[in-house]
Formats: sequence, structure tokens, C-alpha cells
Amino acid sequence: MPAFLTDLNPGWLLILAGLAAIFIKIRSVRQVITIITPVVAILLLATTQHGVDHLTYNALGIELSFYRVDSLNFIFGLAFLIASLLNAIYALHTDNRLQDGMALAYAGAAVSATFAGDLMTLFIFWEITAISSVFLILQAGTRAAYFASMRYLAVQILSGVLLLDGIAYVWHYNGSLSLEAFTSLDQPGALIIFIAFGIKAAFPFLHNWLQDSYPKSSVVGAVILSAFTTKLAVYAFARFFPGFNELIWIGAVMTIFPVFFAVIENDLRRVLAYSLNNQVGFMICAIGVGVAGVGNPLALNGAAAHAFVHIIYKALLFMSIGAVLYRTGTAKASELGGLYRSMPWTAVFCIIGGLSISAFPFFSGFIAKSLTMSAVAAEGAANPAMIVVWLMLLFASAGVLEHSGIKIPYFAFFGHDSGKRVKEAPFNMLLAMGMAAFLCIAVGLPALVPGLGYQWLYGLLPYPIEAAAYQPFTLDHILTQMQLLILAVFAFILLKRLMLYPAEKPGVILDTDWLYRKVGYGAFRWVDTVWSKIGPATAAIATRLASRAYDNMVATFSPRGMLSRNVFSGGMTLWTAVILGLVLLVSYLTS
Amino acid sequence: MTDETPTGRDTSGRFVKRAATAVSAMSRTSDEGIHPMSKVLFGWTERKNIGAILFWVFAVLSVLLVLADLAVDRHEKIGFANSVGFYGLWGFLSFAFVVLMGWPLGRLLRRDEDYYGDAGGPPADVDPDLVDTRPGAASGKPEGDA
Amino acid sequence: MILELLLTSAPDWAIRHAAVLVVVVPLIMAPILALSPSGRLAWFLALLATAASTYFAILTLGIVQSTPGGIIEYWIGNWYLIGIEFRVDALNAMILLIVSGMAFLATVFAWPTILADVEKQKISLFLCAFLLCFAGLCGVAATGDAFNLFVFLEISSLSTYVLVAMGARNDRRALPAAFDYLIVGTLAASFYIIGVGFLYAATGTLNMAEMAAQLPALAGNRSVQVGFAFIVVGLGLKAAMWPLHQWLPNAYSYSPSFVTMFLAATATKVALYALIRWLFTIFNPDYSFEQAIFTWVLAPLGIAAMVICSFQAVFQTDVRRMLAYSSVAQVGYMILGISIATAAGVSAGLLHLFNHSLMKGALFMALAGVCLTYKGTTVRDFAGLGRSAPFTMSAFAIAGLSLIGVPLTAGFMSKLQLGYALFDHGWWWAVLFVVFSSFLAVFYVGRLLQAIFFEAPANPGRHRKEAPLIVLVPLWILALANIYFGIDASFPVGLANDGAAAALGLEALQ
Repeated sequence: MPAFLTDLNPGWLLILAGLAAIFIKIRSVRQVITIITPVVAILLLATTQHGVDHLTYNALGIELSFYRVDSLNFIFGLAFLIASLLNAIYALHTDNRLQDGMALAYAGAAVSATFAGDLMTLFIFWEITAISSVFLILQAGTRAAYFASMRYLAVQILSGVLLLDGIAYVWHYNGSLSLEAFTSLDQPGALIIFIAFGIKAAFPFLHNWLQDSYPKSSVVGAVILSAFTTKLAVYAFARFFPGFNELIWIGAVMTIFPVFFAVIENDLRRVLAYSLNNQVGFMICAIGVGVAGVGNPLALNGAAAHAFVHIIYKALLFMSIGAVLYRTGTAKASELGGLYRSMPWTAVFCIIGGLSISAFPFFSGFIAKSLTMSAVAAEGAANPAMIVVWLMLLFASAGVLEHSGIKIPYFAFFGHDSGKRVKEAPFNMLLAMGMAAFLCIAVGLPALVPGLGYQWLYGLLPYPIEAAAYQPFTLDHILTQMQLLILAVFAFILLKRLMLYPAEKPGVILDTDWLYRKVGYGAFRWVDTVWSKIGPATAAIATRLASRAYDNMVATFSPRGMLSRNVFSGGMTLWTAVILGLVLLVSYLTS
Repeated sequence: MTDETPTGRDTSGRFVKRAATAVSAMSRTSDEGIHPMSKVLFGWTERKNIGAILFWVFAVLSVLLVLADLAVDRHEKIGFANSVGFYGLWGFLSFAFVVLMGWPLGRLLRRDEDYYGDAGGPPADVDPDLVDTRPGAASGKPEGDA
Repeated sequence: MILELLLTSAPDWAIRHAAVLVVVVPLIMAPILALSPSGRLAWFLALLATAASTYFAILTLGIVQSTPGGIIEYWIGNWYLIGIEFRVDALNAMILLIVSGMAFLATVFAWPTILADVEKQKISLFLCAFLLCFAGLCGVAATGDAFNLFVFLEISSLSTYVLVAMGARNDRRALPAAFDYLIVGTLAASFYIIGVGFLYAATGTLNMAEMAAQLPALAGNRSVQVGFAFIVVGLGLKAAMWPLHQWLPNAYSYSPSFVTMFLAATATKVALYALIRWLFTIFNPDYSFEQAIFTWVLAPLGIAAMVICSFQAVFQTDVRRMLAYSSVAQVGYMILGISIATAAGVSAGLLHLFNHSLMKGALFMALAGVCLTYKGTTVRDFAGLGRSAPFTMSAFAIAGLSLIGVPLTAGFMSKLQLGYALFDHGWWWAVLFVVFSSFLAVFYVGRLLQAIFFEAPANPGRHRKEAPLIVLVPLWILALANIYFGIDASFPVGLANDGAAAALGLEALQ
């Protein structure tokens, strides 16, 4: 392949094709573009030399490196490109130029950010992911989606601003924007960048943008959104903050708290959003274990492998629920049920996704999660605190099974029959789901042919040699994992028989978004009401004093004028006195 | 068209045609909205006593797995994880805890659907046929309009 | 390089008296203007006066930069130690340059707006008041005498009240606004003069440099501290330091649009300059009470201004009020920079001062252009203007982005410097407030830009009509300056660094 092509960041190709697709009116041409581009990008990536700055540019004295592939970011980029291909197939039944184009551009921005060779480039594409993804939420076309997308945009921009801020410090103090990992949070800019990444990774209490926006996006949009933003943040953490102890605890908490929300949540796409959060928690935790000791290569391998398989099975789950939403017009558990009668294939794929995310042996989740669990357990041998973390992760594994492995398929396709009789999902959706399901199984199988099965994935990990030495399919692993899962399923059946399983009820579940959507909005409404009362009051007086002679009076003494004057004569002098007193007091006390 | 294919390929052509008909039959939803594959794949779930069967199957499986633990000599890094049935117990308890917490949490956190004032409807890109039939289907999903 | 060329080409008398001529030229021109029979002639003369002032301000800057000590001492009438001293160092020179430069640009674009806002027979008097105000501001920035500073402050304030009140022709609310401003301005001036009185009692001199020399010996003197408190509050009032800012939104909203633009770009800046002069040159941040004031009074007030006034700006419906509240918030940034009390902090504050006059100048100038052609200053009135007046509005957008602090604009540079200074000082938490306040700026500016470029015009009858060329040219000069100084900030950063060093009495930073 010609050199200039392999030097081209495949993400740029996607962005360019995406921008072009927006303007292509002929549907078939656009469809070809959306499918061919990721394929070409994967080929380009596969032939690229690792560890070299392929495309550099010097701007304003900053050396920018636009394309740099190494063992860490390769697997993330590959996963993004595969997800992009699956998304394109999944979206084939639609005819929406903006959505097609923005989906490609969004994926391209994520890939470009992954392969960025310096912080500034990372920031640029970081922002492009934020902006391009908003359109996917907006495509839902509902009022709720509009407001959610604005909240989403605000949070994403905030993350970008913080990142830029942090980069400025790094540049100021180190004079370099290279992709070097931080060694401590006390380093200049480290904390700010940490928070910026944390927002995108949906850390606890910073997470709500995700549950707020993804479930409100369009059918296709949710599938696309699920793949990129959070995993890009995971990559960024793996790149800049490996082995930070803070991440271990943040990750552990992150795996646990969404579990409880997912149980009571009615909207299945929102359940999946919580589940996404929980999965990212595993990766964050693994990154935190990162460099700490014995677990080092194992844990980072675990995070990378988990991100790869997660992107695919999470996409699969979102696709299957998306297909249900597409056909029935709802994704609410209380309105669904019994759909296996009309959508059996979708049900099969959904179950495969559920088995993968629950980490059943011989499905993809198992081989990734085993790495992380082994790494944490290895740390636990030396450090009692890590035993707590390990138990938390184990607890969360049972939780994943509950909400993604059982709740999603059970309430959508089985359980109480909703009486909905619809058509099976469109063929292109089935095809995309089938491909994703194939990957879930193929990657999860033991290496019957050496180099295939799980070994194929292990060969792509950041530390392939250590990965090759690791054996996921030992009797120990399989037995313990099966024990955990089967007894958990048994618990489900038991609770169901005892009628102790909470029924799915319609309703919204409060989360931290309550703070800004209800309390903040309430405050805003209050201000608004006060404001709107003042306005009519002005108008009322104006109409009463309709006579022209009084017009000047109104202009001078209208309530707003009076109001500000009242504030003035009293307030202004009072404030002056207060500040004077304050200054006097402080200088008196300190001299 | 297919009737006029050359005689040499007639058999294979007919085979293809028959296969295509079969596939199409297996993928065409019946008038009652039942997909033929559902019987093949999930027919077993329609048995009357499926609840009891599943219960006993998983009960037996669980016991077997715990028993198997006796036979396997595990080498866990964390000491207490070696105890027999630890994973099973932890999984069972975790799961039960999570589900049972759903009762109080649901009462605490669940609000009306239009709590935020924007309950919304389905996104714009749902099945166009669905949108067409919505007035008729309105009775089928009363909550959607609430 | 341009400076050198100017210096070599300037006549000898100009170089000798440059520092004074900046002030004296407009001061003398003002009464002449008042006698001018025609408004157009008056405008032309005012243009000449501000141009001359700008020329002398540039000369002064050149002289300051080329003198070894970096200080011009000019005793008026050569009455050494008895008379009034004009004392110009890098800090004064920078402020003089900003004030006179903005005054010049303001005068250039003023003509059409004056025609629209002011009755014809009053134009000469109006411009006379403007020149007096300008001379007063320059005087404050040039003088080295504490009492003289008061006099110039009063000259500028009194003429400002007149200027604000002239808005009454369009909106009667200008009268109460001017009256309020009068009360507050008088309060501020009295506080200042009371403070100076206390210090005069303690030191026996009104010359700033002399006072600075005597103060260390008076450590612990209560009357010095009381004087300090009065001066800080008095100048804080003038500089619209939160919560002493409440005069500002009304004054900015109801005065003629040309006056708003001029005041927004200069008036609070000069008061801030005086504050810096007092805090750092006369007093010294080494005094423990001053350090405490920095940490416990100025920094919290600055942060409060940044956050609270940004919120207020978000909720305004009138664009001028929105920008006015934003101005108070920006003053908060400068106060925060000053309160760090390091050379880097003061320099960041000064840089923001410089950049802020560029961006607010451009914003209010564009606003004046809109007032001129479309009448109406609410957000709704701005809807769809992006299509009807693309040139005016894209300059507005550039300045707005600079106000937010988007990279590659001047506003970004100063916020960056402020962030560095805060970080160096260990106040990383304050950085979060700066970021948060910029985040709010995204909303209020974004709301406006959204209305301008993406909404349908409120009144579809309007068709394409730009502001007149004489408005567009200075507007675009400012807008392009916003971009240029966002890419290559070496000139303003150099000015600000020198200014900060001069204020703190350090060797030049570079």
C-alpha cells in the first residue's frame, strides 16, 4: 500500500467521508460510503507501522503528531472501527443524511483521538466527538431528546474546556505535549485532566449525562453512542493515569452503584446505559491496578481486552433493544414482554449479548473479565484493601448478570406477554446483530486452532507476551465463574417463584440529574416567574397610563426603574459601608 | 422466470427455489404475528410447568457445581476464596441483595413518568408502519400516551 | 520598531513634554470645542485631539521603554517637590495607550451615532464633555500626585455624568441612571479623598513616590490603615468591583451608545489602574494587612464577581445590560489577578484589562452599529441579524468568542495567563472558578450568537443593512486585534509584564 495512505490517520478518512455523506442525497451511494469507509480504514490500520509518528505538523511552536499507533491504542482504534462498521450496517434501513454523516464523523473523531500523538491533537478530536455526537441524540426528534442533548453538550464541552485547561498547564510547565503518563495527581494540570477524562468516562456523580442522553437518542443513535465516548476516556486513562490508586476505588464504586439503579429502572435502554457505566467501572479499576505490581501487564491487558469485547457486546445489546424499540415503539419493560414470538432472532442475539456481558465461559466477556479479576486477586494477596475491591467486583459481576444478562432479555422477550405482535427486525439489523454475536462467540472460544478464538484478541493486547502466558480456560476459572453465575440465576428463579422480584413499573428513576433537572430547573423557573410577573406589571401600568403625557413618567419611574433605584439608594451605600467595614476589620485584625 | 431455466441446471435451480421458499416460510411472520422460528427456538418455554422445571434444573445444577468444587483443588491467590462453594454463595447473596434492594430503592426513587415534564415519545426513526398504525394501536399501549 | 521610528522622527519638544501633552491637548481642546459653531467641526477637532493624544501616548511608551530606569518624571512648571509631578512608568504608559487608543477609535466611529443620539445644537457641547472625560482619564493615568489624581478623577466623573444623562433623549431612564451614578461617583471620590487625607496626615506629602518612601516607617499606624481602607473602597466603587458595581449596568444601558462603548473600554480600567498603583507602588503587598486584604477581601470579591455577574448576564434580556454584567464579571478576573499579588498575577490582570478593552470595545461598537440601523437592543431584536448585517455581526461574534476565551482569541490568552499565575500561587481552586465563569460566558454569548445567526429575524421586513463604513472600519480593527493578539500575544504580554514589574518596583520581567 502506498506510504502516504498508511501514514493517513484512518479516523480522518472517516471524518471526511462522514462530512461528504451529509451532502450526498442519493441513498445508495451514501450507504456504500458508510460501509466501505470503515473497511478501508481497518485495512489501513492493519498495514500501519507501530510506534512511529506518521503525520506531524508544527503549529505555533507546538509539535503536533496526528497519527501514532502503538500497542495500547491499536486495539481501541480497531474496536472503534469495527463498531463503526456494525453501526453502518445497522443503520442501513434509515435514510437520514445527517445521522449517517455524523455517525461516521463521530467514529472518525474517536479513532483520530485514539491515535493522536500529542495532547493537543487529542483535545481537538475530543471536542469533535462531543459535537458530532450531539446530532445523534437530536435525531430522535423529541422534545425530551432536545433538552437532553443540550445538557449532554454542556457537560461534554465542560469536559473539553477542562481538558484544554489542563493541557495548558502541562504545556506551561513541561514544555511538551507528549503522551507521557502522569506520575502523580499533584503534577501541574494532572488533576484537571483527570477530572476532564472522568467526566467523559462517567465517573460516579459525573455520570448522569450518559443515562440522561443515550436512552433518549434515536434507535440507531443509541447504538452508535454506546461505543465511543466512554471507551475513548478509558483509553485516555490507560494512557495517562495507569496505576493510579484513586482509579481502583473509583472503578470499584462505579461497578456497584449502577447495579442498583438498573434493577429498578423501567426503560431498557436506560438499563443498558447503567450497565455501560458498570462495565466501564471494571476497566477503570483495572487501569488503576495497572502498574502497581504483579498485576501490571495483566490488568492493563484486562482493561484493553474488556474495552474491545465490551464495545461489541454492548453494541449488540443496544442493537437488540433498538430493534424492539423500532418495531414496537417502546423500550419500557412494563410495556414489553413475550416478544420472542415475533422476534425470535433478535431474542437469540440479545441472549448472546447477555451471556457475553455476564461473562459466561465461552463468551467474550469471560476472557476479558478473567484478566482483570486475576490481576486484582493477585494484588489482593499482598494488600488486604484490594480484597475488598475484589469482592466488590465479584458482587458487580452478579449485578451485571441481573440487569444485562437476565433483566434485558427476560422482560423484553419473555416474561409477561405484552400481546405485541410485530414483525421481526429488518434484515440489516439482524445482519449487524448476527455479526456482533459472531464476534462475541468467536472471541470467547478457546483457541482450538492456535491463534484464533481468544488468542486472536490476546495477541492484540498492549502486552501480548504476558497475555499469551495467561490461561483463561482453566478448570478453576470455569468452575468458579459457573458457580457464581448459575447460583445467581438460581437466585433469580427462586425470587421470582417467591414473588419477591420487584415488578417493572412505569416511572422515572431519580439520579444525580435530579439536582440540575429539578432543583436547578426549579430555581430557574422561580426566577422566570418573578421576571414574568415584573414584565406584565410594567405593561399593566403602561396601559393604565395610556395618555401620552404620562409616557415620559413611565419611562422614568416604571417599576423596573423604581426597582433598581430602590436597590440603589439603600443597597449601594449599604454595600459600600459593608465593604469598607470589612476592609477595616481585616486590616485591623492582621496588623 | 425460474421455469425457463436451462434443463441442465433445473434440479439445482429447483433446489435453490425450494430452499428459498423454505427460508421465506421460516422468516415470514404468520397472521397472528407469530414468527415460525420462535417455535423452533423458544417453543420449550411455552410448556405449562416450565417454572418448576427451570427451578429444579438450576437447583440440581447449583448443587452439582458446589459438589464439583470438592473435587477440584483450586489455587486462589486470596485465601478464603478457596472455601468450597464460596463463589456460588457470594453470587447467590449478591444477586438476592441487589434484587431485594429494588423494593426500597424503587419506593424511594421512582417518580411519575412526566416528573421532569418531558416524558417524550418514541424517537423519530422507529418503524414507519408503526407510526401509521398508531391511532389504532393506541389502546394497546395506554402508558405511552400518559 | 515602529516605536523607534516615531521616536527618531518626533520633534524635541514633543519628546520632552509627551507625558503631559497626552493630557493637556484634550484639556485645552475641550473649551475650544464648546465654542465651535458646527457639530461636524467639533467632531473633527475631537478627532484631532484624540489622535494627537494617541500619538503622544505612543511616544510616551517609546520613551519609557528606552529610558534605563523606565520612569519619566515630569514636574509641572519645574516646581520640584512642591508642585505636581507627572510620573509615567511602564504601567502608566500602557494605560495611557489603551485609553487614548480606544478614545481615538471611539471618536472615529462616533459621528453617525452622535447624529442619531444627540440633538444637533448640543453636539459640540457633548463632544466637549467627552474630551474632558478623556482628559480626566488620561490625567488619572499620568499623574504622580495623590491629590491631583482626585482632581482628574472628578473631571472625568463629572463629565461622565453629563454624557450618561445625554442618553435621556432616547430613554428617560438615563436620567435616574446618571443621577445614581452621580451619587455613587461622589461617594467614591469622597472616600478616596478621605483616604488621601488620612495618609497626608500621616506622611505630610501628597506625592505618591514620596508617600511610598515614607510609609514603611509608619508600620502599624492606624490612620494609614484607615486611609488605605477608604482608598481601596473608593477606587473599588469606581472600578465596579463587585458588589459595588450596581451603578454600572444602568449607566451602560441608558447612555448614548458611543458613550457606553468609550466608558466600557476605558473608565473602569483607569480606576483599576489607580487601584493597582495604590496597592503595589504606594502601599506594598509585604504589609501584612494588605496581604490579608488580598486574600480575604479582594480575591473572594473577584471570584464572586466572576460567578455571580456571569449568572446575571445569562438572565438578561437586554444585550447592553448583558454586556454590562459581563463587564463586571471581567473586572472580577482582573481583581482576582491583582489579588494574587505576584508579578505574574498583576501581569495577568493587566493583560486581561488590555484584552477586555479590545473585546468590550468591539462588542459595544457593534452594538452601537445595530442601534443605529435597527433600533432595539434586546436579544430578540438581534434575531436573524447575522443575515442582514453579516459584517457587523461577524465582528461581534469574534469579540464574543474572545469574551468567552476561545483559543486563538485574545480572551483566551489572558485567561491562560491568569490561570498560570493562580496555579503558581497555589490557588488551583480559583482556576476552577475561572473555568466555570468562562463556561457561563459560553451560555450568555452563545445565546446571543444563536439568536443572531440561527434564528429567523423577529421582523421579517428588515433587509440587508450594514452599519455605516465609518463604524465598520474601527470595529474590524478591534475584532482583528482580538484575533491577532490571540495568536501572537507578545506585544500585550510584554506591556503587561513591564507594567506589573513597574507597579511592583521590580526589574523588568523580560
